[in-house]
Amino acid sequence: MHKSEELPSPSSRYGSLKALVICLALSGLMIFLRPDDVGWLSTPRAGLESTVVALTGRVGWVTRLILLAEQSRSLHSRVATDPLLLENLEELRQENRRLRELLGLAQKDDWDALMAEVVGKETGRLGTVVLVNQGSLAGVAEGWIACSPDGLVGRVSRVRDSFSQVQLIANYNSPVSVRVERSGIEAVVEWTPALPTKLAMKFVQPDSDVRPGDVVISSGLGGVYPAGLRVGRVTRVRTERERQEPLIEVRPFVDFSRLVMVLLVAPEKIKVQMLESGLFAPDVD
Amino acid sequence: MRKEVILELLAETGYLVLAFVLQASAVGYVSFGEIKADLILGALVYVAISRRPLHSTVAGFLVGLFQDLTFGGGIGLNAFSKCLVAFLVSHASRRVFKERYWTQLLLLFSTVIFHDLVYFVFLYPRSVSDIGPAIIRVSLGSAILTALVSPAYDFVIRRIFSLKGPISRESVAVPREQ
Repeated sequence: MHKSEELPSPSSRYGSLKALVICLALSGLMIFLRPDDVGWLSTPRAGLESTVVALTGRVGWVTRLILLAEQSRSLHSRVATDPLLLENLEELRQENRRLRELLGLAQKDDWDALMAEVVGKETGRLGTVVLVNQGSLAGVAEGWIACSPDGLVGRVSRVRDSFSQVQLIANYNSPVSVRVERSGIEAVVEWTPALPTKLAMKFVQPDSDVRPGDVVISSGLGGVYPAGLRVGRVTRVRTERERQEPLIEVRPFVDFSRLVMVLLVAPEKIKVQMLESGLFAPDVD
Repeated sequence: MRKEVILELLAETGYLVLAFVLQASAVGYVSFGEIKADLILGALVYVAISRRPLHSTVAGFLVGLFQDLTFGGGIGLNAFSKCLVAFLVSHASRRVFKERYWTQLLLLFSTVIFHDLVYFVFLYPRSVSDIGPAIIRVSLGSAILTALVSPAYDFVIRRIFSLKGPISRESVAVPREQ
């Protein structure tokens, strides 16, 4: 390659170097600040986020429309093929209600749930945070669970008046307590840089019964996510001599890049149900 | 001259903001798994190759800070990585034929890889050995996509809004140093 123009003078070179040092020092300082230290930024952040939601909500509607049409087609075919299953489920629900009445057990309340549209996605490399168009005015609170027809999506990490921020389970600090549906083995799945498109299953003993193809569901331990939500499928189990723990890869059921609508669920009711079933330890919360 | 400079700065801000809005709305959906184009970084590269290093560094810092403030929990990571890459690209572009399409592609490709390296090191400092696979599985694909999509974005936006090309712009906005 050839030189295309004159090199900058030493003074301008040092000027840009000074600017770089100042910018790096400022951003480096911000990286190491705790969230409590930047609490004063919450108001300008809310303003910026509102602007982004307003802009992305308008610009992204074409893409969302295309994806919604695609999802609608697949959901229609699914509903059309499973009417008997839905009828059976309703029958089982009624039967369960009658049996609980006979046994004198309290009836389970329906979950507080709210449909929300994804109106913005994190612009960073991994895009593991999304903005949805339901906020505190609709009753959403921090800690609500986000699901899709495919499975667990994440949890509400920040709430504003008219929108909320959902941290996906593919985020680098969103571990999920899980159970292998077939064998009942309990573990934790979380994102690691080594498996950027999948989740890594941790805290599994070397001789545990986990195989490729196993379905992984949330276990409810820890009280963050309710039990029984579909998380992903084991795609690979690898044992290495130098590592005691096997390397287990889990592919999430939800395609986070195609996320258009999510169901937001209040966790309180779920916790009550989990308490009844003995899965949730109240002292954890 | 002052009015021209202000108009140029406003146009540049609009250019970057539009990239941000498209990235947060449309580009996020057009992806292959975790692999997606980074339009913001691509737009920043075009700013960096057309502007002086001082201007580019500050622009990178502000764009990154805007990203940090709007999404994500921590602040500073995008600001750190973007001001660093903007500074390096701006300096590097003065030593190469940036008018060449292939040079621009190479700059875009290498910028995404370097940016991700810095980003992942700070995002996951306890597991530096895992960063290599992340670069291979996510960044390589994203770098190729970014190198293909960003020139198209630059071309279309400059056509639509009748903006000056990346090379001639600096000579209009800021007089060359004597």
